[in-house]
Amino acid sequence: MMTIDDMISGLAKEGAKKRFPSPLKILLGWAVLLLLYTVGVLVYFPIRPDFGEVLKRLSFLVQLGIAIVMVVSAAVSASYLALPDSNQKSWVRLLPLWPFILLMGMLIVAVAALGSAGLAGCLEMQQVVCAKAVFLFSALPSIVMMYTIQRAAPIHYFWAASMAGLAGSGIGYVFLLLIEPHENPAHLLIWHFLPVLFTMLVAISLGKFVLGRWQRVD
Amino acid sequence: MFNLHPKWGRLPDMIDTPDALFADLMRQSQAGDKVAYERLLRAIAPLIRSFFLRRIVSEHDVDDLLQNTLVAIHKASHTYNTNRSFMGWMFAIARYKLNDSLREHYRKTVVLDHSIDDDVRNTEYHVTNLPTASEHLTELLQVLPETQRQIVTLLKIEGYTIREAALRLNMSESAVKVAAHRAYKNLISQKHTKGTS
Repeated sequence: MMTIDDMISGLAKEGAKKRFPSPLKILLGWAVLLLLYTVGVLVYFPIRPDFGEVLKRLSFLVQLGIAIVMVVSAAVSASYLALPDSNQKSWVRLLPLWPFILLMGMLIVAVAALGSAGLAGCLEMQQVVCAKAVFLFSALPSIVMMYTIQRAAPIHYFWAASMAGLAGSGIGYVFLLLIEPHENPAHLLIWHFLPVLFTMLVAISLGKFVLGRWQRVD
Repeated sequence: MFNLHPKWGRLPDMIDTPDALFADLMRQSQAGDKVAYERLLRAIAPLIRSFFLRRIVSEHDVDDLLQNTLVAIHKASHTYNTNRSFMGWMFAIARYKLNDSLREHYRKTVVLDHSIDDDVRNTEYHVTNLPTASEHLTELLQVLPETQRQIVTLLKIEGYTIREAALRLNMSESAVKVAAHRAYKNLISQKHTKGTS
């Protein structure tokens, strides 16, 4: 078995790696990519026809605002959780939970106001196309974020993966708010928000495998 | 003549705290200084070792863990942000490797919840009248239905694989697995019945 001294000499010969970009730089890079992605998506999928009208509605603006805050805070969290010493900023992992809970709570309250008939109607309609759209729009930003985190050295796989998944899927949710002319809260909850939750779960399930690669012995 | 350090205006060794010294060495290492990197690794190894020694009894396990942690620190060397505490970064990795190793250890370890002496005291057989292993096995297998008996014999005594046993008995592999599982359950329940009677 190799002694500690031999091992240290071997590691020293390889040398330390060059410094990884700071979380804020990761975030900036991701934001630039996201901007290009948004432009690309909006070229192929035009903004909903009633966009001018819904922008005057407070409920829509609040919903859009919370969703954007959720995406940004999840991306901030994911960027910090890419580092092994993210415990030095332990508050960061809880940052996106507030907008996440707020958005979900808002939709649930609106659905409750509709009564069971509205919910049943939405379930019967089976608009899977919206759920598929959320997944498709989420895929690229989620993959990019997971890949970036994996290149660093995360140790909190669960949190890092869930935040990367939430940042990506939140974008899917925002895009659908801009593209799809759906206002029914039950529809938004079932066919837009649940896929966000599901994408997050998929990211969590892949978390240990994808994000733990940095420390596996080659 | 002293060669003053550009940032601190003095030699790295004269920096007040070890944390600042390590941070400085890592800054130089990230810039490609291999000598500084070796110095850093040699300086932190005893600290990490004592961190593990306070938590783990076996020195052999501590050495293994120390090696794993040094490799992890090496692989994560690009993630140290020199504006933050080096010790915080280093011990976050060490703690993670410790927890990971303990998880692995507990997953593999079978916890014996009773002493072997209890079994010896409760044995009713007379040592000179004990049946041979094959007699005991034959007696046990008699309680099984024909197919299950054949499967256990093929798999556990004659060393057939599931696939070979399935071919031999003209059964599907899943059917063999299911029958074997039932046979083992039967054998266990028989053992318990005998043990209580």
